[in-house]
Amino acid sequence: MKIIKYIFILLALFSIVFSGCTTVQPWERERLSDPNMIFDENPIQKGIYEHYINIREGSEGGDGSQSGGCGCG
Amino acid sequence: MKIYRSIFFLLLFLMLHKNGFSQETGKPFLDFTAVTTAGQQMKLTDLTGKVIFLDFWASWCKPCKEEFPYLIKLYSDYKDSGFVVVAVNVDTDRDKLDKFINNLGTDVPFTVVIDKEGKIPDLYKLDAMPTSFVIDKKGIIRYRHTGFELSDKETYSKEIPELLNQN
Repeated sequence: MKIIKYIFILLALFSIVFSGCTTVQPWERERLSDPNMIFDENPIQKGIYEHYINIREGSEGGDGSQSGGCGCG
Repeated sequence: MKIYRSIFFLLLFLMLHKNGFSQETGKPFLDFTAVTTAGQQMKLTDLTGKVIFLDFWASWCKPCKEEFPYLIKLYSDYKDSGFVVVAVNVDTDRDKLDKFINNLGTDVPFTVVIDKEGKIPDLYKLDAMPTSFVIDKKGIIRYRHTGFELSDKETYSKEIPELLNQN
């Protein structure tokens, strides 16, 4: 009973705190899709390299770079 | 105890599901009114009776750059058979839209709608850019495409004539 209470309070807190986080919708990614948003000296080359890695590894994300939003850019 | 459990699941549902469902195929299209690049008002229901290719794009979207010239060709091929393209642009800057079209090196023969605030993509609950919907003559969304790859050209060229041949 106590554990459930704690979980409930925790979840209520989470829902209040994280309601401030919103998802950037695909049509709002204009700035995020800019090559300048890639943390690298040569963002364009980095983007190409990441695309290559994505294809080879079948993995994506976790590196901060963005694209057009469909995952195929 | 039961109340806690109910509230727990309710909160969990709200947290996981705040983005809503995306617009599905087999359902009627959602109507909207918007302004075209020519400055005219257009309403999607005015196009009922035609096969509509509703496309969402932006100048910053890489696959859109590949898709757009193909849409021009697709429209040119089927326009006389009752096919229309409505391209909803979500750029916040009109200059970028104009630059994109100028770089195509050709006129855009179909309707391009401006939606800076993103109300129409929000209505259709897009997952990605570009996204397109193929709507039949009765106003039912028959196909939905997310992203654009070269292989999609073949898919489009099968879907459009199929819907044009239906009453």
